[in-house]
Amino acid sequence: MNSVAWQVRKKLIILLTSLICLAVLDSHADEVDDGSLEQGKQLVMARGKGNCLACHAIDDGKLPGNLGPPLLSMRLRFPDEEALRAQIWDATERNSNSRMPPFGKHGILNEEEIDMIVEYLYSL
Amino acid sequence: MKLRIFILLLAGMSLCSAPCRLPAQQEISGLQVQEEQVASAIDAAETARQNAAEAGAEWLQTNDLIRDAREAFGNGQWQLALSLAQQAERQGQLAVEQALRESVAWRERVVR
Amino acid sequence: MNMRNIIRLLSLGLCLSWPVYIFGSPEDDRIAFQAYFQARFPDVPISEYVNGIYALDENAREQWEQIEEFPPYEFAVENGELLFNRPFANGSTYSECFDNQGPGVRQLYPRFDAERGEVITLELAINLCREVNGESAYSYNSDELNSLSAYMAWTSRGNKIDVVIPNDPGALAAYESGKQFYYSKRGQLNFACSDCHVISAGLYVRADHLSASLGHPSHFPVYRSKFGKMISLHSRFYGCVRDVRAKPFEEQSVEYRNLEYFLTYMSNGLIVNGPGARK
Repeated sequence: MNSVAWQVRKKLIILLTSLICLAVLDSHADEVDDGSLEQGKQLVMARGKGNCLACHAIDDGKLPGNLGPPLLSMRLRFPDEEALRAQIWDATERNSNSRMPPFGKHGILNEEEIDMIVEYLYSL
Repeated sequence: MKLRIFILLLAGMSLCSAPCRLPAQQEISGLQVQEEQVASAIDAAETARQNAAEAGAEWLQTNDLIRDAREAFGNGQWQLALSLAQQAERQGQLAVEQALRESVAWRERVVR
Repeated sequence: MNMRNIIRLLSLGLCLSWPVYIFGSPEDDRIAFQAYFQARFPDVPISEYVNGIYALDENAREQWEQIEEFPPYEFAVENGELLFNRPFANGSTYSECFDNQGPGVRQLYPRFDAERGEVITLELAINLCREVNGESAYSYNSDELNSLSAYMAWTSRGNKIDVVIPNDPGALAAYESGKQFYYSKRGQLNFACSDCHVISAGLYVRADHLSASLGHPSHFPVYRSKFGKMISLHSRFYGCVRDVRAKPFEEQSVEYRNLEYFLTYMSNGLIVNGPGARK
């Protein structure tokens, strides 16, 4: 095999692979930004779903409750994603007197819905 | 040529990644559900609901879930019936678990 | 052994292992309960709690006071008085079933009936009176029953709530069961009455301002503008239990009567100011 042709082919492969990877990554990024985030926000606000607004001030949500703290700087407060997810899934695991409903354990939200909510909360 | 195959594979994967998931899910929902399996799931849900009721801890929607499961079963929607019955059974079990936990935990909350 | 027995056994085991709990008398509970709110809201006199959320919410209070100028429960009180004085088919009247012939006795309910071994609420006493006189019982939360109860509350306004828990194992058990109900989390949303009306009193769930449990039973039945009618205390219990996504108990069920027994005892010493008006 001609070594120059090989070099060209190698560069082409790298370029193509990176392009494909970028495209894949980018499409996923879009999915998270536009689709999931909006869906996550809707789940957070909806009375029949997360209804997080009932107890927490969030973003531009109207007439928030104040049983729980405002949902701000979530990355800072929950650097560990698993800890945030666990808090939503069943807050009574950590504190049996918590007033926060066990959204995951009690089937109020399903796993995908919790994932979308976590994603949205990290954008705050 | 190995490299060409590799590239094709990569391209194929990226093109396919989203749409390829759907048939897999349909396959799951297309799994054969046996009639007896649904009937026994509904029975199990009803038993779990009764246990919760006896503990004075039944949840609001458990009975409706069982009613909907029976209706779906009658209409031949076995997969749906199974899923509703399983949800109801889980609710019954969780309510009993809640009652057991609370039979002890409530005392911590008493104002004193 | 069924589930209820297992739970009873567990509770009993716990009582025996932590004897300190069984020696907390109802009176100790009441003093602690009132002291809790005194400490939480030092500017609010205990006597104000009979006004529910308006004890804690200055803005809503003005609106409420305007409503009270033309009380929407007035019709129920007048209708209740008519019903109360109308003789039964056998010629006797309600007045024969109640102390003081009926008026001004709201503050004595609920009471423990040692013979029957159960808690008797005012609404149940009205229906028992009807049955003993050969009349059919009213359905709970019917206009008739709420009117009678409104009239009896009206004639008791200003009287101090005086629920008695006699030294009877049945009465203490009823009180204890009401207390357990009050502090137990229930339903898919996993809330106890105390989660909202003790530790979260004065806070907001969306736009709803949470009232304190102290004083809750003083003003029922209540005219709810939202429903355009009078509702009973047990109907309110029903709504709360449903809202936490638990299957509600029937009005006048033993569970709600025991809950009312506990809850009203906590408000002993406050005055009756029913019927009330709420949005």
